[in-house]
Amino acid sequence: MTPLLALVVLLASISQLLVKRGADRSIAGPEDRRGLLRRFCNLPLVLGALLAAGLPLLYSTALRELPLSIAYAANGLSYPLVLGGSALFLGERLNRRHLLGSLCICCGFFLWTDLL
Amino acid sequence: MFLTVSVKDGMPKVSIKDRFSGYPVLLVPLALLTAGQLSAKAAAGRMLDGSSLVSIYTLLMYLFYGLRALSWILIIRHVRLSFAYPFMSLAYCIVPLASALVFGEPLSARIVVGMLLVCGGLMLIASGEERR
Repeated sequence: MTPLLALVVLLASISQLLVKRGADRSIAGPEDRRGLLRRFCNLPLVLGALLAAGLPLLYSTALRELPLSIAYAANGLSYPLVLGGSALFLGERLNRRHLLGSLCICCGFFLWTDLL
Repeated sequence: MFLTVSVKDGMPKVSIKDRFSGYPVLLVPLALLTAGQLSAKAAAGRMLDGSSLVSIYTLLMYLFYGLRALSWILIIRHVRLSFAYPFMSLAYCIVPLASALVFGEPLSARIVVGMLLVCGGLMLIASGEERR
């Protein structure tokens, strides 16, 4: 795990949360063309989409330093991060399976990348 | 063919044929995701040898990611998310296997156990979604 790959995973999780926040904002509003444009041009949605569009390039740069078979494990960490973020910032409720699944993913990641 | 493209009122319409809307169709986004990851690694190799920052592999990576997103949106309308989401966790087994095959990267027992734990964790999270 390199600092750049950690940044990619963190930004990927943030982009998911931003898109969700933006998508929630885009639900209500006028149905005409102008209204639709205004609904879908909200800041979190645009920021999240821009981040998501740029991340593959950053991920590819991170892959210069690591084998794909190791680096891919880091993608799994975005699931616990998004779950944690959705509970903290979006007020979503988590259940025992979410927590157990996240624990499994973290253990799998540390074992996979030889950090355990 | 899984996908059909028709033109109605001058606008293209993409749809999935009903008889192919079963679970095997999920192999399409899975294959596209794997191809995207392999392209990302190939693009990284091009960056490393200094030949170019944006190569044909970078464009392929974006193409595969885009097609994967499109196929996912189309397929998820026909397949239960509670099955589709954990099915996609198979990527955590397929991508390392593909990178071992294509790039000759080593696979150890430790990596295989880690893969299975990540897949299992994703399946648990998906089952948690179903119970919400």
